Amino acid sequence: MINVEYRELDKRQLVISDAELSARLGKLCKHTDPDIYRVYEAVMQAAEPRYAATRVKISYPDEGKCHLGFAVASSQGLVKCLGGADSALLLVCTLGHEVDRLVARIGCTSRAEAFIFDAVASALAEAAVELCERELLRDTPHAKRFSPGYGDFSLEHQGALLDYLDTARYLGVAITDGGLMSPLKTVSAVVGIYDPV
Amino acid sequence: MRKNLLDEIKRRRLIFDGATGSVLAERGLSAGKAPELWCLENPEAVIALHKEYLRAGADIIKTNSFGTNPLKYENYEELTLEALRLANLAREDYPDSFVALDIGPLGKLLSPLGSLSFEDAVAAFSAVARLAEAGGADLILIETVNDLYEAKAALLAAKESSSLPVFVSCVFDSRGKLMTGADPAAVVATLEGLGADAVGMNCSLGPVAMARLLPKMCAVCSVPVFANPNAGLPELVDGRTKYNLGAEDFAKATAAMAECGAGLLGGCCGTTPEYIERLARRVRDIPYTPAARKDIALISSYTHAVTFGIKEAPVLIGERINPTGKPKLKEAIKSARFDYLQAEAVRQAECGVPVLDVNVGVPGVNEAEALTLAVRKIQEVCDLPLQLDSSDPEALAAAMRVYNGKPLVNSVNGKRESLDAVLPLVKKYGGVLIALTIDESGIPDTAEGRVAIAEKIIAEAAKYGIDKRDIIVDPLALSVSADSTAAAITLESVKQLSARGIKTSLGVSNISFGLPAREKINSAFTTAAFFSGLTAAIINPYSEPMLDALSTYLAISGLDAGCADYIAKNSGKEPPRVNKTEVVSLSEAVRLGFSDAAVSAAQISLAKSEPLAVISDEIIPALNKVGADFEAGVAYLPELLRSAEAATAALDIVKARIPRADELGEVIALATVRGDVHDIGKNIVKVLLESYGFAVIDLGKDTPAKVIIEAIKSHGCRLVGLSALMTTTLPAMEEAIALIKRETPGVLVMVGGAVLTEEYARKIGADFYGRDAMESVRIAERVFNKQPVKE
Repeated sequence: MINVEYRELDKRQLVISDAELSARLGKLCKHTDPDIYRVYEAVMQAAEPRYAATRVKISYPDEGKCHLGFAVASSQGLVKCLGGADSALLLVCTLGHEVDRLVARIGCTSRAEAFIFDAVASALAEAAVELCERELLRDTPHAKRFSPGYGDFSLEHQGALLDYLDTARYLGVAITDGGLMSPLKTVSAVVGIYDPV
Repeated sequence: MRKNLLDEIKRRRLIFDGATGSVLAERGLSAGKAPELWCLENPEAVIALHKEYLRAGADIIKTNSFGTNPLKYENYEELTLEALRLANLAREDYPDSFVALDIGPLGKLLSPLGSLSFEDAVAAFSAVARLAEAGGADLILIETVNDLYEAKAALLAAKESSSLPVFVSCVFDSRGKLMTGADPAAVVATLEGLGADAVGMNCSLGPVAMARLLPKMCAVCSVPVFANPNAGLPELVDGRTKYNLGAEDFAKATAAMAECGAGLLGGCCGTTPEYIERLARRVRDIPYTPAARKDIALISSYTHAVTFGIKEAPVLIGERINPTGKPKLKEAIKSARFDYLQAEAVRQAECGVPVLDVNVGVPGVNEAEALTLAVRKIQEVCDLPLQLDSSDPEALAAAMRVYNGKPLVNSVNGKRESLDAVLPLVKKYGGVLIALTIDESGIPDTAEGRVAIAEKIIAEAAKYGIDKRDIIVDPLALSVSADSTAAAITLESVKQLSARGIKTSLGVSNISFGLPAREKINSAFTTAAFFSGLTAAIINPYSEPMLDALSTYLAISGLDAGCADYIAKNSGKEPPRVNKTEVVSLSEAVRLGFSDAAVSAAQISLAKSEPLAVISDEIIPALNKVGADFEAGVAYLPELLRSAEAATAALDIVKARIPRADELGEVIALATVRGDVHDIGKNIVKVLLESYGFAVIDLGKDTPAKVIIEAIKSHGCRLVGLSALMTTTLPAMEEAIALIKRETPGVLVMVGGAVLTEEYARKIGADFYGRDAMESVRIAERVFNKQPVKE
């Protein structure tokens, strides 16, 4: 057994990025706009943000490769992003299944509404992982997060990361046969840390 | 001679052992290594731990097999049998102890949340459970399950594979729910209904938090309840997980749960033999009361339960998912368009009814398949408990097996054939059963006759071990237009049944069949039935008078304390929110996305113009304007979609007057390819294509190529749209295109999705590349030789 922290996030601390929201909706907007705010409230009510995280020592066995504790990843992009860090935070953060159900339910009667709900939920998932980073890496110098599926960091590592953190048991997050995480509004990430473990 | 576990639980409180993994980790199990592997690699350590727990006072030791299942290990049989052998070796000096075959979760999510099918999960659990008896287990313990559906699969597998007692323990979080949303009442309803011999909670919480939750389980559970909490809350100290409760504090807090009804207690993560010893010592002198029957009838979904009771508020059941008299619903069932049923379920839920009836009986349709699919699809989007409504026992069996929760089952009747077919299903799968007062002689024309059939059904059910509390009698509402005494007989039947403590239900709408202004009769009859003691009513939830019948009854009868709900519903009421129904033109309604106004305006337009002219002169130009604004960046996607939805609503009115698009051969199949579950883009395209009058067959997401081929052939599709949002699923798209070209030459393929480019689309054999949703409309118009879009 490895030492993993499993925690629920206080959703009152989530700060949604209007820039992120605008990008997803394809239009400049704020979460406080009346049409969007009611969606934001509904998604916030359904959200049950929680995370699993652990710190691991990492190494670079070869050019463009990084040993992450649970796998050796061949990814120039990841190695570049880690910037020589010798440890990393492995993180999986989710909004929970009820948000997925809410979007699916809304989609039964209005695709337009479902599109907005989905965009708000995605922006909130990003807010959740930002909150995780703030809580876990408060004053610790660290790299930008990098996720399986970014650039040449293969999505195939996602399942191994989830198994390593035992997210199916402790977070209710699992990988589908198609390689996606369920719940959909889940973010996995590797964050290089510039402090020793 | 070993003691019988179920007899022993009636006599005294039993103690479970504590954690295995965390203790073995302290004893050398390396980080990341699964504890169950030590059954082969370090059996002495496993035996030693079992013996320590037994010495500490544990009555039940769990085998070291928590993670062992065929999905994780090819040699799961060897691991399981070895775990059983070691536990039996350890308990040789403790003949009164019990060995539980420990089965943990599979590590995958069940569909629809994940990819593992329900039956594959049952098979995986069965493979382990069937080893239990031969391996020397006294019981099967299914534990640490955080999804109700997985708990059902495991319990069903254990019951089908073994005759041993089965205990099931779930993981509740700080909200008091499972990770996938079930509360304690839903868990108890489902698992007790399936025959669990004890139900409990373990892991995640320490004893203090668990003690706050346990009473909710005890209040509704008629079988023993057990609790195995963690040693408090976990903290990372110097990179290692530590739990914040010492043995004595743990024992004190856990023992407190004995006082609130726990029949078995033990420990989970962080606990050790010392924790169990102190716990056993503390609970020794706490008086024990065995679990008692609760006279509560519960049904549940996968999140919550609904209670039926003679002294409780009546329960309304939404009746709209029933094809009788509903041609659109009938058509949707015949063409397997279950999104229609999903929308109907969601709309009814929005009206506030707590339960939905699901009936898909249509001539020519395989009802078992249809009801199973309907249940699955509805439960994807709606968490209300469902009434499974069918006169076909095979359909009921299939649907009850896959239903996530404990269903209301409609129905059984007094005929021998029905009793023999339906009662065993309820015994096996659990459910609250609607019993119709019909037998081989027909429907009695007296209340006494109907009560007699009810009592016969209840007596027969008792032979199967089905408790009277789980039977609701429907004494049948027949139309007063055919028999003016019908209402009086039914109401008298309800009174007499209630007086005998028997719950009742009625399909109240039947009372007015054949009469005008049916709503008036229905609401008056329903109110009278409530005052006669009716427990549940199947109604049209879109009817305000029917909803008012309940709220007024509750206020008058005192069940609405201070008339609070009645006041909230009826005073200071804002006018219902409508899409502006002031007079606007059809064009404006579509452009602005006002669906209700579009419907009204379409009806007005049809009075003045031919249907095809309404489409080509009013609807399509309005859509085109919004589409052009969207492409110019003036309108954004939700506005485009709202317009499309308004156009579709108007088209539904207009299309009733013209040949159907599918009759014209303008049928398009849409699918997200195999391995990809992103469907928002595909759904947007569907809305737009339908708003332009095309018939769309939506094949959903993660669609195998052969399903696409079957749809093309059976619906005569000339155009197929495929979407993919992940680079990893592009090979599946290429494979689908190749199969389409080979098996159905002449069918054209358009593709779309964020990962595609025009060049790649051509490379993989697609005929068209849709860079956005509007482009798909243009492609379809070109393919079907319609008038090209006017800019």
